[in-house]
Amino acid sequence: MTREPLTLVRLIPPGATVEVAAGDHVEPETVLATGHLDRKVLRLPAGDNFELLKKPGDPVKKGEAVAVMEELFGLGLRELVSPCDGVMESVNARRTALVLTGSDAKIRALVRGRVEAVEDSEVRLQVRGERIRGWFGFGRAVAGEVYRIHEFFTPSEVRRRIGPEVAGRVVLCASFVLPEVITTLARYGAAALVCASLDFAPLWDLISPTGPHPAGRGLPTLVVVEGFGVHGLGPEAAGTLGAAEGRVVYAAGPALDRLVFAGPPYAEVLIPG
Amino acid sequence: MATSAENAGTAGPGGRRGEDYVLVLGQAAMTALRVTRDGLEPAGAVAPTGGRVPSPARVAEDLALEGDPVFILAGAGSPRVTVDGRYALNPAGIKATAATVLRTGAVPAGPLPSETAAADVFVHELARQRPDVLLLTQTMAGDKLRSLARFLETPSFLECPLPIVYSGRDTLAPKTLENLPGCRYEPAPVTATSGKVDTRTLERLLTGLVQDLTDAAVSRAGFGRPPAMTMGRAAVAAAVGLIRLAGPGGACLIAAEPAEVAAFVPAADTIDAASTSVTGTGTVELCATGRGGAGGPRPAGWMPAWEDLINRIPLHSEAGNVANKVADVLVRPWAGPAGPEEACVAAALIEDVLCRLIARWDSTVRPETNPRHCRVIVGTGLGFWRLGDPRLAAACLLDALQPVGVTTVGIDPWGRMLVEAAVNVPRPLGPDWVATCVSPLRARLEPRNGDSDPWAIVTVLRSTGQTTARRLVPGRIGSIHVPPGEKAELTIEPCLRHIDFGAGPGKTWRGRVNGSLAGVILDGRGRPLETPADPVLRVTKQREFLAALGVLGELEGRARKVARRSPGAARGPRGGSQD
Repeated sequence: MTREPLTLVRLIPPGATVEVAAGDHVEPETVLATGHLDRKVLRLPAGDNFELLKKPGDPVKKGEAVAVMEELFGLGLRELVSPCDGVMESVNARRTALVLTGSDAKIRALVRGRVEAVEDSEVRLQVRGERIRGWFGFGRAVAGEVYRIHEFFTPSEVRRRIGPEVAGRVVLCASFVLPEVITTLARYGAAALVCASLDFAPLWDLISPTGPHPAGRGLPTLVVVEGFGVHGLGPEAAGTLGAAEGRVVYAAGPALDRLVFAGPPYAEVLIPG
Repeated sequence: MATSAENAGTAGPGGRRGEDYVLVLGQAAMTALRVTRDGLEPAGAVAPTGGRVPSPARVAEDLALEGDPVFILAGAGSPRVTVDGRYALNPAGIKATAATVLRTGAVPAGPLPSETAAADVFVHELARQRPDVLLLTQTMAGDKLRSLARFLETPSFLECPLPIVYSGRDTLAPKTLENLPGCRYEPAPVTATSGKVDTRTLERLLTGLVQDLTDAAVSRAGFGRPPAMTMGRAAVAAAVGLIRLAGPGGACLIAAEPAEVAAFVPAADTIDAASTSVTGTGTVELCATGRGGAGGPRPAGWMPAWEDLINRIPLHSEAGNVANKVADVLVRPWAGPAGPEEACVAAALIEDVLCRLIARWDSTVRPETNPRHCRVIVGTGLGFWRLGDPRLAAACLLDALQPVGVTTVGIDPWGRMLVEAAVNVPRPLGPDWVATCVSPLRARLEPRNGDSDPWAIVTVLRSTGQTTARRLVPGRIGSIHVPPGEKAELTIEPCLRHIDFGAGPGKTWRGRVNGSLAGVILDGRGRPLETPADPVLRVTKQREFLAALGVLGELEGRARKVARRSPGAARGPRGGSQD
C-alpha cells in the first residue's frame, strides 16, 4: 500500500471506442470508452421450424420474444426471448444463431487521475491513493461507498442481517464470509464484496463453467484479500480498509469475462487519496 | 539470428559480474539464478517480462548491471499462433499442429471455437487470444470470413498485417483472403488428406514467419546482438541431451506444469529424429478440456473433483479443506508449501492433471508411443519446485504415469535443462535424479491372501564394491540406497516365468543405473495401481510408498519444528514418521 502515484489499468472490451487521450485529466464520471459492450449470441434451434419476430436493427427489451418455434409437431409454440435490452444486430447465413447487441454502454473512470497511456484494449490511468491487492476475485470495475458487515455464522443470520441498504455499495467484511453472503448481496444489488477469506468449494459451485454464475457473471465484484479457508484481514489491510468506511472506493476483478487464478492482473481495491 | 552457441562463447565460463553477464528474460527467468549458483555461467539476473521483449538498455538500467550482456530470451516475445479449423479441434489434430507450432519456436495461443457460425464469438475469441499468426486448417467463407475482415480492419493490422497461413486442401483454399486489407495471406502448398496434415511443409513456412516476427520484435527492442532463444527447439535439445545422459533405449517424457507444455521424445541419437516427435500434450489437454474436443464426451471442467483429489492425498482430509488448499495453491503458484498437507494437495493436483494427460494420450496416440514404457521421466516446471521435496515430486510422477520396467525419475524444477540447451553448455548437468523405480510389466497385484512369493530378486553392485540384494515382493515396497553421483550395476532376476522387467518374460535384466536421492525403489504395487476403498488402508498404503522414498516423515518433522518454534502456529496433521 502506498500513496505514491499508482497505475490503474482499465480494460476496454473489443468493439468499444476510446474517448480519452494520453495526458487527459479524468474525474470519476469521465467516460473512458463507449460502445456496444454487451453482446450476446442466442442459439436458434436446428431446422427451419421457427419464425423470427424481429429483423436486424430492431430494438428489443429484455424478456421480449425474438423468435417463435413450433414444438410437438405444431401442437405447441415456444418463444425465444431476448436476454438483454438492446438491438438485434444480425442473424447468420445458416440461421442457427442471432447476435443481440446491448444498449450503448459507457465505461467511466470511477477515480480521479490522469490518463497515462491508451492502447487497443486498455487505458492506463495514473491515480493517487492506496491499493490493496486480492489473491482472487472476479467482476468488472465498480466504485461505491464502503459498507462494513460483521462475520455471520449461519445462513439465516445472513438473510436477517443483509438487506437493501447494501445496494450500490462496496461491502467489506474483515473476516471469513459464508457463501450465502455473495448470493444475498447479488439479490440486493451490492456493487462489490471485499472480504478476507471464504470457502472455495461452494464458491466454485457458483462460478464454475457449469455453475449458475459462470466466471462470476450476475454476482457482485469480488475481491478476496487473504485467501481461502478461515482467515482474518492482516493488520495493514484491516487498518486501511477500516479507515475507508463510508468513503467511495474502487474495486475490480482481474479480467472482464474470465477467471484468473494466478495474476497478474490481480483483483484490487483502490482507496483514492 | 546467431546461434545460442555464439552467445555462450561470448560469455565464457570464467567471466565475472560487471564484465559479462547472462540475463534470462521471460517465463524461465528464475532459472538464471539457479544456473548462476551452479557455476555454469558468470552471472545471472532475473527479469520476468510477461511475454514482451524488453529493451536491453532499460532492463540493464533497472537491474543496475554493467558490462557486456548475453541475453537469453526464454519464451519472451515468442510469437503466438492461433489454430482454426475443425481438424484442429480433433485431439490428434491439435497434437500435430501444436507440435508443429512448438518446433518452430512459437507458442500455441489456442484453437478457435468449432462453432464459429456466430460471428461475434469468432471475433471475440480472436481479440482475446491476440495471435501473431493465424493458422487455418480448413477453408473460410460466409459470416466467418466477413467477421475476420472486420477484425483485420483494426488500425494495428493495417499497419502491420496479420500473417494467415492456410494449410488445407488446395481446391478449397480461401483465395479471397489475398485481397483482405490487414492480411498477409500465405497459402501453404500442401494437400491435406483426411486425418493427416503434411506438417513438414507447414513447418517450413511457419519457421520463416516466426523467425521474421521474432527478429522484428527483437530489433524493435534494440538488441545490439541477437539473443539466444529458448522454446520448442531448446526443449528438443534438452531432451536429446537428457537421452545422451541417460543412455539410449526406451523413451523420455518431459512433463511440465499444467499450464505449460509437455514434450515426448522417443530415444534417438540425432536431433532431427527427436525433433519430429515433440508434441504439446499440455496444449491438447487444455484445449480439449476447455472447448470440448470432437470425438469424446465433454469433460465437466478442468477443476478435478475434490473426492478424486482426496484419494490421492496420503492424509485424512475433508473435501472443504482440500478445496481451500487447492485454491490457495492455484492463486499462489510460486509460493512454497505451508505444510505437509498443502504439499500433498499440490502433488495431488499435479498428479490429477498428469493422469488426465495420460488418459488422453492413451486414447489418441497409443500404440505408437506408450508413456508407461519410459526409461527416464523428468518433471520440469515450478509446480514441482512448489512441492518442497523432489522425492514428493517423483512420487506424484510415479503414481500418475505408473511406469513399468526400470525407470529413472529426475526433477528439474527450474528448467535448467532448457537454459543449458539454449546456451549449448558442453557438459550439461541434467536434472536432479531422485529415484530408480523397478516394477514388472503386466504384473497385477492379486487380492487373495498369502500372495507373498517374490516377483524378483534385485541385486545392486555399487562402485564401492558393496553388493545388496532384496526381494521384490508383491504388495510391498522396499528400497536400496545408491547415493547421488554414483553409478551402480543393477540385476533383476525374475522368480516367476511370466514376470518381465523389459528383458523378456522370465529373463534377467541387467544394466547400469544412476545414483539418486531415494536410491532404487522396489515397487511391488503392481500395475495398474489400485487404490483401496477403505480410507484408512488407502492412507496407510500411500504413506508406505512415501516412506520408501523417505519423504513424508521429513516433511512432517519440518512442520513440527516450525510449530515448536512458534507456539501459536497451527499444528500439522497427526501421524508419526514413516522412516
